[in-house]
Amino acid sequence: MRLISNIFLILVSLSVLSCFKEDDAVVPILPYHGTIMSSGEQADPTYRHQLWFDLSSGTAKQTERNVWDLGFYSGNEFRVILNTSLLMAAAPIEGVTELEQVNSEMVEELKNFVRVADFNTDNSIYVDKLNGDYLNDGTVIAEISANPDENKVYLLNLGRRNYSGNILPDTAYPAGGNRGWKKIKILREGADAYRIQYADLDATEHNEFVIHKNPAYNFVFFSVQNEVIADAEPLKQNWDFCYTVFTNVVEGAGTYIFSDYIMTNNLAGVGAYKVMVLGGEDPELVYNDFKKSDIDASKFVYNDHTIIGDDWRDVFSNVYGDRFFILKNPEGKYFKLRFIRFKDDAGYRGFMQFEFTALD
Amino acid sequence: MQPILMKMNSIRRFGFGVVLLLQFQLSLKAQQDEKIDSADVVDLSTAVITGQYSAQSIDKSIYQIEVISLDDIKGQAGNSVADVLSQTLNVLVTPNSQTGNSEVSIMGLDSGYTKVLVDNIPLISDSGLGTGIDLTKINLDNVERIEIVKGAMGVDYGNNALAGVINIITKKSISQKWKITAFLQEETVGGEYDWYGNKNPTKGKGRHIESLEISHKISDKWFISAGFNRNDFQGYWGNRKGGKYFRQDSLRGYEWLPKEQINTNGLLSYRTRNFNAFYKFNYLNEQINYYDQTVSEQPLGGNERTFVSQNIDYRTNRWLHQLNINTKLFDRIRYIADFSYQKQERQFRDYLYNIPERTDFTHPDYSVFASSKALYARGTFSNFIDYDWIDFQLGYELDHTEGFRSRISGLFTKDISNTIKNYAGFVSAELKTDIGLSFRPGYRAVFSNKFERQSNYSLSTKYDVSHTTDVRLVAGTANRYPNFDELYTYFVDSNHDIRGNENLKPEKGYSVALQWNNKINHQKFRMSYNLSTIYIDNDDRIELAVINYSPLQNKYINIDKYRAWGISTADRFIFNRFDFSVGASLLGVSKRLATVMDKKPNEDFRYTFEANLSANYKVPKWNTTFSVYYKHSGKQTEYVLENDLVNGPFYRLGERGAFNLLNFSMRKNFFDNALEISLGARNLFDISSVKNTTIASSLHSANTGEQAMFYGRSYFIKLIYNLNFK
Repeated sequence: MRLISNIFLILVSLSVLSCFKEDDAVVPILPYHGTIMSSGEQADPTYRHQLWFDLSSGTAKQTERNVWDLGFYSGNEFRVILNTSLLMAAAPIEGVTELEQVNSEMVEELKNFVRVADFNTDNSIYVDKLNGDYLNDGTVIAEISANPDENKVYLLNLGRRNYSGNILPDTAYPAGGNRGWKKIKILREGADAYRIQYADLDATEHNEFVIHKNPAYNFVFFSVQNEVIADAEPLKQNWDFCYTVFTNVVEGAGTYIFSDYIMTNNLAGVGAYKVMVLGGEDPELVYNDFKKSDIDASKFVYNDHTIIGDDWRDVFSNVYGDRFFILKNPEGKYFKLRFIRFKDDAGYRGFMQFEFTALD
Repeated sequence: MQPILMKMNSIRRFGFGVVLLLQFQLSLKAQQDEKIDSADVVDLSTAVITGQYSAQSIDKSIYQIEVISLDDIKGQAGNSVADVLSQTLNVLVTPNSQTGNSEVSIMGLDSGYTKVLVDNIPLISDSGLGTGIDLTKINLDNVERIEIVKGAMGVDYGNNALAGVINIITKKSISQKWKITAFLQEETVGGEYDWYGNKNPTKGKGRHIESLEISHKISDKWFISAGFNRNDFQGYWGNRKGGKYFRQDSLRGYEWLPKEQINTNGLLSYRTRNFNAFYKFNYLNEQINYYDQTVSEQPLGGNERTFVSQNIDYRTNRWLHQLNINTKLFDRIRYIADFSYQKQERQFRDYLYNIPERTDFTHPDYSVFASSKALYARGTFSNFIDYDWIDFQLGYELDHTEGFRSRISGLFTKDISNTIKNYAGFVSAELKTDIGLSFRPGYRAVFSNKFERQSNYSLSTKYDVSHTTDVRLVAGTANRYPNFDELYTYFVDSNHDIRGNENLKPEKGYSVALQWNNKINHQKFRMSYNLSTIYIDNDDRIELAVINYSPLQNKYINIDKYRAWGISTADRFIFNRFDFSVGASLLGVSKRLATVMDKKPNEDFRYTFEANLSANYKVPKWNTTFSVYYKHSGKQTEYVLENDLVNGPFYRLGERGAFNLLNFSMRKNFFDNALEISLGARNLFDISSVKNTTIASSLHSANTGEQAMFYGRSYFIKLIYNLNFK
């Protein structure tokens, strides 16, 4: 029994001597060394806007995301994209050549499939290609052919309205009720314009609108609902990435609504890559110390506008603290940027802040 | 027969109960400790009270009662009732790493079907009286024994006593004039321990318990005692990094939340020949600290920044008052009465914490999110007539339970108050024949302001085949009342539609059990065997059912059926100073679940095997007892409804994996029992999580298939200091 007493004595003395791991001492945090930008004055948990950030000027253009439905490519090719931020979808209506041949009864069944975020694992065929590589057959609306007969009639799901209702902290409200359906057909109009024909599903007549390319922009935007050309993206050299609601594709779940998404301007040559901070390193210090000479040019990704995407945060409210991004803008200038948060002080979603520094 | 009778007499002479089945070890000890304890043995500590007209010996009881004795409690050095119950067959104690609560399920039925009593009266909880009890909120300091009866006891204990009754009996007297017991218990939590931390002794990792109990016999009639216990659980860190950590990698916080409990109790007792009474008081204060894993960077203006996160402090206060009277009216009729007032209030405050600065951003006050108050009275009259062969009991049970849930608890759109008033009368008779056969039929009627009149029936039969063999056939019914959530939930927003149902009926249930006991006695060698089988049937079960698929709507309705059938054996061998128990059970459960879109799982009985083993060995030369407790819980399978939004809902066979728990302890007495030291290890197989796919996955929380049930192997040391004086 002396053994037990000894063990006990050892235990007691050890426990008295053992030191504490945690204390109440204040830990100093490194100050910011870059510029801080925000998505707006205040949080918008309903995400009414798209924000087009230009790091070289330190400015952002804010446009309402529901002002446009379709984007008409202004380069050489004839491509039309859907507004990803409105959760739109489209599908060709087979067996018809003119809008007047379509009515709602005819597309009753098709309407059940041409939807976003309905957990149909195959529904990504009704949206544009996720990575934004539109010119390589990446749009759900086929390349607009010079031969008018080759252009199909499409069923267009206009996506979702802005949410209006009760708003709680910690919750994103990227989608409200349905915006409805249209039938459309798009043709070429000469060498640098498009002609869109559009109508409600049961309409027996259609409207037309001619849209001229503008090479200073990636796309010219058109609102089928409002029947006007819309002002959205800035001049293509004047933005690096867009903060937006985004129609993402999740493995095994099909299309899914993502808010707080970062879409890079890859059509204008923007590239980006991620830098991971190793465990044990101080993320603020690693970011602050990153210099131009640390850039690894081989890592830039240019053909995927989701390269930053949601890779800076999880599905709840966490910003990943262990990473930051290096971005090359359309003029070839380099920047480092790290995301700070996407909630305001009161916990409301849709208030995004990031820190960036030009690397010269 | 002769040796047994002699043995019986000698046991009686020392006053130690009668119970061969469970008390051999005590009786041995009594003989050894005769000089010290001789005055202690007149009490009824070896008798049982659950379901009895008045305290009586366990093998005369018409119900089969399992007892967790003081020795078992000591041998496990548990720090709450949850720790010692988990050893029992067909009793599963499931701890929750986030709330820190441990709830019991008996025969596969959850804590809503078990009535937890302390000194024969139901304990208050969020869900009402005696049900949905968190067992970690009952500490073991002044517990003398725990009685467990499996099966429906609706006649004796009313609603919700369907799977069984757990009756925790506290100490009511001492033999000496003064008794002061102080103890210190230090435990590792998994491998984590730090006695000295945060510039403050006993604030380090691990579990730290301090207790003091003072009892005083004022006179032959009056007795008073008071106790204090602090149980400081510093949380289990595991892979997490605690509340002061501020990196944005979801590692902040704890795997098991820190929890501190302070328990105070007082007892004043008065005893005369024909009038006994006690007043008991208990106050529990519990504090649980939640540290959110999400850390947010917060710019402070200029170039300054900090990192913030959410902390939530939960606080529970529980008060219990009980007055018990046990007397003879007209010098004849035994009247046992309990009056109790109990209250539990749960509060929380939620604030933003500036982690590197170690300061709170906001300082909100605590607000109440749930509370319950109960006024309770129970009384029984028996011994009306002076015949040995017949006795009957008349009883009443009344309770007013007021429940409150605030809308901030999230499931309700407005604050909800609900008062349930129950008025029950019950009657039973005990008939004994001279051929060893006895019967006890019983009936209870319950009138309530919320539900229709409920009737419960029971019929127990006991046949003493010989002095060493008896057989019991016990049948009874019980109801389960719908709980708060089932009645009042209203959670409707753009993504959810979950509704309670105020028109729910109480669930119905009954059980039938057949139990056979046999014992063999020789001078140095004793054995007892038990073989039991039980069938439980539970109908009109309340389930959160899908009542519409597009859009998805859920509502609580009376729909399902649950049947359980079990066979078990519990056997004990005592040879010299070696005391060995072994048990095994096979439990089959069949559930009829709601048909959802033509899909319905089959109702086959799905079986689970359990076994337990315990051994105690005392080395007198060293004054040391070694104890080993082992329990195997076998694989359990059940159907789970999954809401697949693409292919529609379907039933999937989920599985909870098998696991083994092994505990070891040794305890030694020094200086004439003034000092006692226990050393031991719990969960020697070092289990932390158990495979569990019986939980449906939800949209944002895919089922990981692992359930954190334990936190790995832990070691404890307990130092008890006993001071007795005349």
